[in-house]
Formats: sequence, C-alpha cells, structure tokens
Amino acid sequence: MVKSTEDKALKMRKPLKRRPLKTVPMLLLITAYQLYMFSQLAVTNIKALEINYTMLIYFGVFIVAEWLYYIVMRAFAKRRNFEIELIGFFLTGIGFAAIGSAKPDGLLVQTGAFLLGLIGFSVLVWILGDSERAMKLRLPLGILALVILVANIFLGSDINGARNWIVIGNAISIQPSEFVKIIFVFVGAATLEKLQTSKNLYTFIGFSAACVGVLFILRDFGTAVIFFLTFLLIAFMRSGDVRTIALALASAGLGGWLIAMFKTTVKNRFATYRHVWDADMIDGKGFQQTRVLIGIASGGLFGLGLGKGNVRDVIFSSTDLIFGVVCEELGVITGFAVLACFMLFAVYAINNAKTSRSTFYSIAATAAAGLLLFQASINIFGVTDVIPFTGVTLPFISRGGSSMISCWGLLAFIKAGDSRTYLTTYGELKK
Amino acid sequence: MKSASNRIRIMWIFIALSLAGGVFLMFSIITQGGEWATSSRNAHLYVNGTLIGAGNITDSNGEILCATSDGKRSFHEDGEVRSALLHVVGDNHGYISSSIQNQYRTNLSGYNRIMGVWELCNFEQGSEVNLTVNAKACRVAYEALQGRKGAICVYNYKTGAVLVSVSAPTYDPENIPDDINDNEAYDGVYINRVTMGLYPPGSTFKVLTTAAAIDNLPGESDKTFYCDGAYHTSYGDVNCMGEHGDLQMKEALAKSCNTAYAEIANDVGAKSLQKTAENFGYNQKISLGKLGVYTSQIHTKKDDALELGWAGVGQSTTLVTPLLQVRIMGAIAGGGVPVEPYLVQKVTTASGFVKETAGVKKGSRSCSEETAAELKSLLRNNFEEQYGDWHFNEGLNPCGKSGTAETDPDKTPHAWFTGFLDNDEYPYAFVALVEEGGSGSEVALPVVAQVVNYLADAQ
Repeated sequence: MVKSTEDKALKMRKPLKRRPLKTVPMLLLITAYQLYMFSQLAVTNIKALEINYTMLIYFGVFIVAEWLYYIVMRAFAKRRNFEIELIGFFLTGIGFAAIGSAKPDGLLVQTGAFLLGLIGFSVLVWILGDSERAMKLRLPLGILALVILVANIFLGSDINGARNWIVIGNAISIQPSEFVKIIFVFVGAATLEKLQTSKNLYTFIGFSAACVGVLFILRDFGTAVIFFLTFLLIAFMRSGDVRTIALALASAGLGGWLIAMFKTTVKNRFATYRHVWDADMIDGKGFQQTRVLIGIASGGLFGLGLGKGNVRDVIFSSTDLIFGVVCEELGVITGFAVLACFMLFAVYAINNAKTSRSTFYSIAATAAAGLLLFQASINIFGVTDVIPFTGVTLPFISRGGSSMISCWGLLAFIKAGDSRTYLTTYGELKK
Repeated sequence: MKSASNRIRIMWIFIALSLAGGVFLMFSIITQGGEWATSSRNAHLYVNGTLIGAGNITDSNGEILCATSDGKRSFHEDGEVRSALLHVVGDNHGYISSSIQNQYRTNLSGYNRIMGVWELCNFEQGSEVNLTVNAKACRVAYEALQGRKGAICVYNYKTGAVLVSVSAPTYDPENIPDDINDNEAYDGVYINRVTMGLYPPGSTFKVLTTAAAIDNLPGESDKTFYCDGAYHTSYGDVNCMGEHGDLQMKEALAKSCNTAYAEIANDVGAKSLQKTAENFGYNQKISLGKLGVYTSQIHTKKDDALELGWAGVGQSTTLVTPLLQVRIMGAIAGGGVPVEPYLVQKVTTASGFVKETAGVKKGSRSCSEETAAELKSLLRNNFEEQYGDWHFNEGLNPCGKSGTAETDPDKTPHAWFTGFLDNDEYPYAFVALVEEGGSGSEVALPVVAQVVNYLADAQ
C-alpha cells in the first residue's frame, strides 16, 4: 500500500515521458506545404516565369526564420520538442498565404510582426522559466496593462468603428488591447497562484472589470467577450468554497454589465443571426457572412487555388473574413484543420497541466489556450453564421501586427506549461 | 493544487463546444452548400444575375434544349420545341419553378460537394444534364393539342424513361407574350399539368375499380349487370351515357358503362376500392427526380352508395395527375410492378466525368401478376371491341381506356385517354388529357395515338 502511494507520488512529479514528435520531418512537411501555397502567389505566370520578387522575399524570410528558430533552439537551448511551435508555424503560414491573396500589401507588416512575435515568444518562455522572476513582474505588468488601456482611451483613433488603435506618427498603428491579452493571462494566473487570499481575488476581479470596462469605452465588443470568457475560465480554475460564491457573483455581474453596455450591439447582432440569407439582409447586414458561406461552398474540399477566390474582394477579407478566404482558396479541409489546431492547443495545455511545475503554469497555459480557442471559435463560427457575428480576428491568420505578436506571446504560456521545455535547465533552477 | 488541475478539465467543455460548432458547420456545408454556391450572389456563377457558365440541357438524341453562349442562356432553335418543353426545361426567370433548369441548377452550375465550383473555374462550363425526352416527339404532342389546354405524357414502362412530357397552355421562353398574365388562354401557364395538374379521372378510373373487383370478388367478372341508363340508389342515380341492357364486366369496361361500375364499386366496398387505388399510387407521394409531383387523391365514403358509385366511375372527389395515370398503366404493363418514371438520363461534368446516371428503379407492387395480366387482356379487349387498333401503327398492340371527366355541368368534360402498348419493342405507357375536350375516345385517343405513332416511326 505504502509503496504504491509512493509510486504514485513519484509518478506525479516525474515529467511526462512522451516521445516528442519528430521535428525535422514535420517541419519539412510544413515547409513543403508552405512552398506549395507560396509558389501559387509568388509565381504569377509559370510559362513566362514571372515572379513577384517582393512576395518571394517575405515568404523566404518567413521560411528561413522557421528553420533558424529550430536550429538555434535545438543547438543552444537544447530543446527537444517543438510541437507548439510547429502548429504556430502551420497557422502563420496559412495566414501568410491568405493575406498574400487578399491583401499583399499587408505582408511587410506581417513578416516583421512574425519575427518580433517569435523573439517575444522566446523571451517570454525564458522569463517564465524562473517562476520567482515571473512573479516579480506581476504588479508592474498589471499596472502597465491598465496604463496601456487608459492611454488607449485618450490616444486612440477610430478605425472601423472601434477606437482600439493607437497611431504613432503616420506609419505605425498598434492595437494595445492585443498586448493586454498577454498581461491579462499572466496577471490572472499569477494573482491567484500563491496567496489564496480574498485580497488577491478581489484584485483580479477588479483588474478584469477594469479591462472589460475600458474595452467598452473603446467599443471593442468582440475583445470584451473574449476577456470575459477568459476571466470565467481562470476564475473557475482557481475558485474554492467562499471564493466560488464571490466569483460566481462577479461573473454574473460582469456578464450582465457586458450585455447592458453593448445592448444595441447585441440586439443588432441577434437580428441578423440566422437571417443572413433574408432578402433584406443578404446585401446588407448579412453581406459578409453570406459571402463567406458562398466562398466556403465554392471552394469545395480542396479550394480553388490562391488568388482565385471572390471572398478576398469583400471588405475586411484579410482580417475578420480571412476564414472565408482560407476555405475558398485552400479548401474546407484546410479551414477545419485550422480550427483543429486551436483545439489541439487546448488539449496540449490540459495534458501538460498534470506535470506542470506549479498551478501558475498550468492555469496560465490553459487560460492562454482557452483565449485562443475562444477567439478562433468566435471568429470562425461568427462569419459562418453558426453564432452571432462579432468582429474579432482569427489568431495567427488574420492580418494585423499587434495580433500576430500577441498570439505568439500567448503561445509562450502554453510552451511554459509543458514541463519538457525546461528539462535541460531543471537542475540549475531552484524550485 | 490537485483541485486546480482537476478544474482545468473544464477546458474539455470548451473544446467540446468548439467541436460541436465545427460539426454543425460541416453539416450545414454538406446540406446547404449547394444552395449557397448557387446563390445569385456567387460571382463565380453569375454576372449581372445571369448564370454564366451553366451546362447544357440536352434531349435523348443529344439535341441542345438549353445552352449558354456569350454569357446568355438560350433555348432550342425551334420555337415550337421551346414551347413544347417549357415546363420540363424551364425558363430564365424562374417562373417555371419545378423545372430542370431550376431544380437541377446545382448540377448545371458545375458545383459539386467535393470540388466546389472548381470545374466551372477551370473549364468555364458547368455539367451537362441529359434528359430522356425526345424533343421532336414533344413538338408533335404540342401540335396535336392544337392550342387546347391539356397534358401528354409517354414513358417507357420497362426503363422508366419519360419520352414525352408536354403541358399546355405554354409559351416560347424567348418570346414571352405580353398578355401572359391577363389573357385567359394562359390560365395556369406556369404549371406543369403533367405533374401538377389534378383532374377527376373519369372513366379511366374504371380500370382500378376492375382491379379491386378482380382482387376482392372472384365471381364478379361473371356477374351480369343490367343497365337502364342509371344506377339507382336511395340517395339518387349514377347516370350512364347509354342504356346498355344486360352486360358483364368485360363488356361494361369496353362500353364504359357507369351503371355496371357503380354497382361493382358498391360490391367491392369503399375500403377495398380505396386500398386498391392507394396500391396504385393514389394518396402516395410519387416523384420525378427533383421535380415536384402533386399527390393524387381518393377518399371513398362508406355508407353512401351514391358517392361510392360515383367514385367507382372516377367522379366523386377523386383527383389524379397525368403522371400517375401513366404510372398506373406502366404497373399493369409491367406485371403489377411500376417502374418509376425519370427525366434525367445522366449528368456529365465539364471534364467528362459522369456524375449521375439513371437506372431502372421499381416502385412497390401495385397488384398481383395475375391481376395485371387480366387487366391487360381487358384493356386489350377495349381496343379490339371498341376503339379499334387502326388508331395506331400496325402491330403495336395497344391497350387502354378512355375517360370523359365531368367537372361542371355547364362545361364540356375533360377528355382522357390512358393506355400502353403491349409490345416488347415499343414498351410505351401513355396518357393524354384535353381540358374541356369532350369524349375521351374521340378527342384524347387520336392525340396520343399521333404521338405514340411518331415515336414508333422515329425509332
């Protein structure tokens, strides 16, 4: 009996012995798929060998960055497993292809953001390697998040009906709420980690309410919903007896508040929902959804080929409607593969939770995976009229620099939740 | 710590929700994808509201009934053929909703579930829909109606292929008449009378009354009836066209004696009569590919000898479509089992891949083989004794029954003729209906004989 419990305890602490996916063949496969996609766009006329060199450079940089990252991490950080990054590369590559078709001008920013995102990802994974170091950042980051959001209220510019942009100079516009996502997950997981006091709990509730409140002022309904759902997820994972009641009340209040604040938006969304094909909707409020559905049906399982679709000509095709572009030009199979990738992140986070070094890591990983899954689902099911349409982007795929960096930042939490990430440095770290 | 990692499992709920959404979306794509792809908003298919790349519709000889050239959808070169086949082929405005053009537009557009509209994008042509109808024979049928309202249908009772399907009034889809909506001559012009016209069957129904008698009353064919010009019941009379005196069922059928048949119906009983009619397709949904077919109706009343008498001679509240009439004839000719009629022979994609081909599809048994054989000999006898084989080309062996259906005492009755050729080379079942045409044998028979003779000659 005693022995078996000991065994169990030992088993619990031991990192999961899972054979890592063979990275090189997988990366080769992903690269081959990316070359197949990119060549459709970069080679504009195969007979005359007309090549779009600008595009070729972006795609080239992208593929080189993937391999460089692998080589560096393998050689210097002695990493063995790259599953999370591989899925990230797969998604980002599809995004590059779809943007290359829908809005080629956006590729410059996208390439830069991808490089920054990959660097940010690596740095964040390093920071998270030492939980004490990470904990020290909790307060400053929380304050930073609120400062960013408040600054957004005053400095923000209206773009497409929401004021969630800050324009610097004339060239760079950033979307602060994207970066706040990372901090939100971090603060959420960190606040509830060690000291399970009510003070910490109320700090988190207050912090969440502040975030959602600011997003209301910024008229960014979609992101507010994502924050709310992530709040619920984090709250549930850390709640116990008294706290359960407090969190339940806070959730209900926050949810009610959210709906009340966005009353007209919600009402409008529901009026269109499941009526997009109605004669008075099809070219009006149901325009985007119907065009996406037409695109999905037209593309069939394998797609019409990049640059051959019609969804790309619809407004917001490279952002909100990118799922339609992916399905029409790369096929419904690719579309569902994208959705599956986000589920895979979540499955990863759950599985790794068993062996995570502390609940901070498992909660952060699950919250990050949850946030990505929420956002992807709200986007994919919104544009296809499965749920009411909300203007959020598809992580990793939609055009947007801030979003790209933020998505890779969130991946860092999932990566950090996987105990194998820090295997090689385990001995040096004092737990 | 442990409780937290347990609570992490809540993520499974969110994963499950996402999965459910994905399954729902996939299901929607499978069931509604065709509709979405063929929406007039799909710029792959439509330019300024016109289907640009729709495939051809062809007849059994490969004649082009409808084709797209230079972004315009045009019909057969012959105006008479265009008019004759309007209700089958359809129009460009969607007025004829139950047509090939409309109901098979997913196929014509070149859309399919696997490849989407890829074929259309690469071949600039949708799939070809090849029909079973013979355009020239349809034209003969249309002309035989001589401007009268009505319907003609001929089908091969061995394969199910519909060779002729014509409904009048009609119009030329390339020259739509200006007065189409106010001229009485165009009443019900958008309706395909073959599949959607419901008429009292009149004396043609006596075939089914006979079937019910054969099945339920073994001695009925030897019974002698006396006709003094009417069948008398306590509620009133079922009138007969003549005073036939003493006669038996065989002769009564040939002479179409109402008195005898009103009595047979009462001998058989309401329940059995209705059961037989239902076995032959009344009150049942029958189909013609994706085209809509109205359900023929019969509701016999127990305890009402007069109504049952009228039902026995095809009056009362009974209503039938011309399509069911030929299917009934097909069942008798085919030994009691009808072959389901169809219009689309095959669908071929632009790359030459045959996506759909029609095959013989048998319906459920209508009557026993013995009953079918007996009915066949009775219907053959009708020609030998009454109508005369001379209507048809020599050796075709026609079998059939005329009908004169009353609708309104002030109006001329509808003329019916329904029958089949007991001939292996020309296995045709046919029907002609001429609205307010008068006598079935005098009006409808020559019309349908003309069409069948043409088909036999043409083969």
